[in-house]
Amino acid sequence: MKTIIKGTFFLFMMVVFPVFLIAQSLRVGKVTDLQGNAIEGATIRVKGTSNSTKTDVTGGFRIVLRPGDVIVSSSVGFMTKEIIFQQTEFLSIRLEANQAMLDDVVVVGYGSQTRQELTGAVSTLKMEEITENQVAESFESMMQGRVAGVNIQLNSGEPGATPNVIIRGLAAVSRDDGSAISEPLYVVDGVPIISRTGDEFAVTSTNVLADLNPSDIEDVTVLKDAYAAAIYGSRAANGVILITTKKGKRGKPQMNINSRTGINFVPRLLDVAGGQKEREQVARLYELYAPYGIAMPSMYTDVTNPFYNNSSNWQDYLYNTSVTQDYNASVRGAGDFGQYSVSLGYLDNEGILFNTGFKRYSMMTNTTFNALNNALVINNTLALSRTDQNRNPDALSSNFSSLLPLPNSPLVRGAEVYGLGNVSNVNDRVRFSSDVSWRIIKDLTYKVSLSLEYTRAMNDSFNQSRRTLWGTNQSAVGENRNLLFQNTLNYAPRFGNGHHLSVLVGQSAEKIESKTTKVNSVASAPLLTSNVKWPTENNIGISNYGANTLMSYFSRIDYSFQQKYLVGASIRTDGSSKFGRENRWGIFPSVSAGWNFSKEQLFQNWEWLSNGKIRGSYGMSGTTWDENYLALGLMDGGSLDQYNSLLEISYGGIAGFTPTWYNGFKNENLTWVKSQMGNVGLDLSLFNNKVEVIVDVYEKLTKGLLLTTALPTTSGYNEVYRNAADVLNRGVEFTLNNNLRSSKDFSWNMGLNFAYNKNRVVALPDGNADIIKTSTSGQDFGSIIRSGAPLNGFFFYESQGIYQAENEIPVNPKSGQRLLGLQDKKLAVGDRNFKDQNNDYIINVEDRIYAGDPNPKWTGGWTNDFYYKGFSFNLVSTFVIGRDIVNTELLERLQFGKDFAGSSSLPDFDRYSIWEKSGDNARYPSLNPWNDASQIIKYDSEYIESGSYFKIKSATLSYNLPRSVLNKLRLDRVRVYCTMDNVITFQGYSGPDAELVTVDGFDNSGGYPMRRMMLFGLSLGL
Amino acid sequence: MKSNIILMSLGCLMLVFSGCKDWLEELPINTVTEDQAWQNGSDAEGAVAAAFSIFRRGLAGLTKDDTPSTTRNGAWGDYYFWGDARSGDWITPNNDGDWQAGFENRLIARTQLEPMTNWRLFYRTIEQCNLVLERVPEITEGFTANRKAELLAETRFLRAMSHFYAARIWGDIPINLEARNVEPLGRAPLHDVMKMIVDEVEIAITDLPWEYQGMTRKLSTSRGTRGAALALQAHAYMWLKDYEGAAAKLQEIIESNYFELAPISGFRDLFDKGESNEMVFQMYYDNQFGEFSDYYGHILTYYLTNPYTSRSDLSLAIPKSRILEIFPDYQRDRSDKRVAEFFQSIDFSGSASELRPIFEDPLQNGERQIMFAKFRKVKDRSYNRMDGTVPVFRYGGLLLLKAEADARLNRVDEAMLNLNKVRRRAEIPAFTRTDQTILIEEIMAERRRELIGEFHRVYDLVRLGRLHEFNAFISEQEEKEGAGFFPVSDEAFANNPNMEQTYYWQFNQ
Repeated sequence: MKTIIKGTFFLFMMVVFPVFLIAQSLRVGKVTDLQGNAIEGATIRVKGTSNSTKTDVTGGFRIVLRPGDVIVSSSVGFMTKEIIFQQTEFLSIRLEANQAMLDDVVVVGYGSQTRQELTGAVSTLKMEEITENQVAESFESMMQGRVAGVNIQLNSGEPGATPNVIIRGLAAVSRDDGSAISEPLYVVDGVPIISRTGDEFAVTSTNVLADLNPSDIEDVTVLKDAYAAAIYGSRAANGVILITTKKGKRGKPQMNINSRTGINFVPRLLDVAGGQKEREQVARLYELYAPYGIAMPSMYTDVTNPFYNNSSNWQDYLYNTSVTQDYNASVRGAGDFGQYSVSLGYLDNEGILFNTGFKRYSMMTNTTFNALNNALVINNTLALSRTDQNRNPDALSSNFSSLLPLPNSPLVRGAEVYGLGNVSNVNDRVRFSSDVSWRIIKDLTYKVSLSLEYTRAMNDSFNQSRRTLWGTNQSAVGENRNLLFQNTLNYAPRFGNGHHLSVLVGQSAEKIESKTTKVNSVASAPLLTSNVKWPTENNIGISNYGANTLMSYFSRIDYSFQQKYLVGASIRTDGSSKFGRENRWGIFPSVSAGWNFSKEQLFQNWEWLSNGKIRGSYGMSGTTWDENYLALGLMDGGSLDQYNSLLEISYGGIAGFTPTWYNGFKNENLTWVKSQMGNVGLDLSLFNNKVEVIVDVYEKLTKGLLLTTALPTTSGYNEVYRNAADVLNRGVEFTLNNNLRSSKDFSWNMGLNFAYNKNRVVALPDGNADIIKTSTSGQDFGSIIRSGAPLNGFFFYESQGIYQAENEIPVNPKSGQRLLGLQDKKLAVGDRNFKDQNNDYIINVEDRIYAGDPNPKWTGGWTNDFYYKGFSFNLVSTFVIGRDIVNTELLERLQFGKDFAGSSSLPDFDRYSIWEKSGDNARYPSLNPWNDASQIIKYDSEYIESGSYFKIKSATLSYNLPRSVLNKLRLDRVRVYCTMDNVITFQGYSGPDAELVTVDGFDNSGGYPMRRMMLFGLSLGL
Repeated sequence: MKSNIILMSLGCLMLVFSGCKDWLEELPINTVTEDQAWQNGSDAEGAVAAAFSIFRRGLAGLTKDDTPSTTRNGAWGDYYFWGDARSGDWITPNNDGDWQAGFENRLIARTQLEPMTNWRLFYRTIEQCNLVLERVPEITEGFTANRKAELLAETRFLRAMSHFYAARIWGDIPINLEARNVEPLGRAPLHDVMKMIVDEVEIAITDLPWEYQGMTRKLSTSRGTRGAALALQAHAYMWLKDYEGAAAKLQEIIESNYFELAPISGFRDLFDKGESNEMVFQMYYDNQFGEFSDYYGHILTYYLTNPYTSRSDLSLAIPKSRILEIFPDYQRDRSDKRVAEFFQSIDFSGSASELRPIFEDPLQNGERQIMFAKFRKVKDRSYNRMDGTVPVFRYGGLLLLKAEADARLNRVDEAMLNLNKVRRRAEIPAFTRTDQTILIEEIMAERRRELIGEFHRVYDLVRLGRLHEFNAFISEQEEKEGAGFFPVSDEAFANNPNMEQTYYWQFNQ
């Protein structure tokens, strides 16, 4: 910890302190960094003597010197420099920062370690520069493309949406049980926080982590392999993200103000056929397919109808350029007493879509007091925040027919066409944590911490039907409370010839409670105001409560010999209330070893090798699920039906319990999802730390993913939860960083990382039988989990084109019956030709084949930072290679119902090859809206496209005002910058954006496009 | 000093360690877990009542909660559909496509009918009974040994009843007599199912009372009584064509003297309120206990119009000519008193916003305009709180079943005695012809008259293989292939390789 304070202190000195020239007599000097910032506390020593001194706060020093003396100047975080003293008037020593030394200490679970001694796969990301130049609702989106193996996809552009964060491959199932995404554990300053709300208790759609102001974050550490993460036991299998918030630093108080304003531009939207074109297309569909007696609505036929010649550009009306504002201010400082840090933040992000937006108000204070001669350190953190997300009740639709007049048209004066009302999502979080560290004896520290976290989510919506004017409103409150009590004892002696031992023993107890209260009302009469009358028959309130507790004991031992040979082992045992008594405790061990081979004699002569380490680890960690009482067999007392009748509760006035038919029955065997992970890594620093290469290879076997399996109806139960699937993720991660300095003024830092991951289901219960979620309605059959295929793999009908002639439709030679289409439909010319895989002359769910993998094979990012004098230019790009996605954006718009006319906008048919008559060499089948079974279905292999993309995520140009100007302004630091966010995307996908895709590979077409933002900012250090 | 402090902190840690046992006991506060649900007598009472509640819902049809994606929102009052719709007697005056498809036995083609082919709630009832039969024997607190035996017997009866009802609808059905049975069960032959029912009831019957103490007649007949159990057994024997067995069981009911035919003037109590000595087993509804239905979930929705509900046109009806054909005595001299009790003609010329008058003459209206008014509610132009009970077995029907059994055994006098009891009540002349075949035909016709709209007709015809004679959409061959039974829904095939579709429905999708 000391080193990190020192290190960051010098970093800070480098940035903040101005040059003060102090006139001195002979043998007086000053130590600065390359930028000319004074370095305090640097040691100046005359080689071969005991003659030494330290620099003061201005970097100045005095020392008695003789000509020819070798002066050795050293300081933590800088390269040691030797110069020979000549008869100089004034000694000016410039030290070069040692990049490797600066991030010398890495935060790990329940402590920290020097990077040299690290044996796990750990990546650290400094957030300072990222958060200074960019605006984001949550820090996860800023991490995109920066850490190898951490796949972050922003699959909605809606303000306040939750990005998907997947570390080292998907190990969760996208179904209605539990989370679809294998989410990591988030730990802020040593305290696991509430990072998501289980579906059962979620009342708002806002990202739970968006209330953490990214500007408060100093750095983010990602624990990727088992050794790094297993200390977090039952929640660590999907990786752990450790967040360290900014603290005060010694010296002058640091006051910072950062203020920026961004303009959000509307990106490419849906392709729409407007006005006359839409009318012609509708007329054509009626002409081709309308059954006898069905006539077109008058707005298509009657030229005097005011809608006839209308052409509304709904997207233009509903999407508009908007403004984002973000202000952050902080005061921080430190001294012998301890440190303090206060920060305030306000973000107002207007959405580009009408009636949407996101606001955040945040405050965080952190104070540390040193007592008993620094033996006792008391640390308090209080963080308060509120986020406020707005939405349309009508979801996010902008897909209205262009023949409908815009709300501002005199034709419909006042009557708004889109859904009336609005949805407000407000999340509040209060986090208070307090810890006391007590150094009992040298090297032995005891730490106790207590943390209370409270989140409250409020959802208020009012929604009125345009047609009936009936209104509904809903008001919901969800609360989460998290109580955490941790005790750790740390013994870390150094002894003998370079022996370093570190022993950690700890315990933690945690209780998480969730509660919701929801009230709905449906007005029984048309409303003219939003004050909903509450008829007694129709208001139904629901409340829910759940709690779970976790008790853990853990220990870790690390040993290093001369920082050359490293071994470590950790073990954690977790008990959770979610499990039955028999199966309550899980044990999560891990081991690791490392070899800093560059320290061996053998490599001493390899000048170019600054550092080299091989490390390996193996261990086990776990995950649980959201439902608190799943294993206990929850009983159901019934609920009021829609008419407030007790029919589903009692019989003859007597009420009783039944099983919860959807969750199966008590299952003492339900247990942790266990994840075994092996990791081998290589860290290389070359050419005096100018080039850094990190390679990791891993294999993660996740055993017993919780799945529902449908039970035979004869059992009475719908589904039962089981630890059913085993999933294997294998991958390679590669990181290359370099910092090149071509001259005094110019430098270039480049970071490239990419990761390959392959996902495969390796075992399923019941002899590897497919797990199929069958739906009772025809073609929509849900997903298949099959051994050997990846999770979420597409199982689709294989398209063979379109039937061009009657004789192309196969006939069963035995029965003489023609091939039967989906939903037992009689096939006709113009219909999709699906391959009858099992030759039974019926196209049904059994004819689905494996058709694609929505899990990205390659993910990564490429960052470039150029510095020239005060200017800097940063470019961040991210990419995904080798992913299959389904163009649901198009297919859902080609799917017409019988009453399609006027219900929504149409794409321009001319741009797609759609079958109309025999011989049309078309890609899409006939669009007959009156067809019994639609030909446009979600599981048609024709709609699978490549989801690879390369995206320039942001480009920033910034300028730091020079010292000379700053001194006049009496400011420490002034930076002006301009950032372009979501610059450009290169993709093969024909839809709008290959990133706006759900985890299971379907275009998020009901969703929200990602804005393009131009941000201007000013950051001041007072 | 220092070591003391270390000891103290270690002591603190130990305290934390020892506190963990309770720390990990988290139980829900707004419901109970399986271990908590089977503690005492009232848990047992509740669990048995819950089983009846599921069964009642099963007869009312699946709701949206019960199947993930049914195409209709809410229950329909489907029991009607199963037991009467395909009898050939019914029409839908407002041309409801779903009802029409049902009349014509197009049960798969119409996806809206899919929920009706799903037996989920029957098997849920069965599973709830299985759980009761597994867990309640362990309970000793909070009830007498006698009450415990009653509850267990009642549960056994209900489990058999659920199998019976499902078997009448689907024919061969899986038998599930074991709790938490997740094995993929295949369909057992109908014969085996009926035999199982007879045997199960035999076990239960000794513990079943004729009447529950402290319950109203209505409530008592809504539970598993000895009368209900004997009636179930008798019906099962009829399916087994063991007419001796059926007659013997029915004779026990007659001799018990617990039941009697209600007078015509008592029909409102019988059909609207369920409070009658004629009732043997019924499904309980009562607004007083909050157990009522609204638009969905009760058959009355489809039978009644204004002035009983807000419906302005008839959804289900029997054509006038068919009524006259079924009730020849009425056609001849208006003697059959049941017609005025079962049918009404509404003056549809009145304003829909007021209570419409009811004509004096029940058949005054035209061919498609006669309301089936056997079950009525108060006149208030809303669906509010429909709480008419739904009969399953009643004494009148059982007498005719006894008559059928006796007639088939050629005990003509005995058969005629019971047939004429029912005819006498309806104030139609006694039947006197002693030819066995003609007598059986007349008994079947009498059952049709007496039980019209009470969900027996189709089952009677299917039992005898005669549905094709009355339903023009089913041929004799098709009925032999199983067209009289409902198809098995897709959902029943999920995760069940042993499931088979009824032969007819394999080819008539």
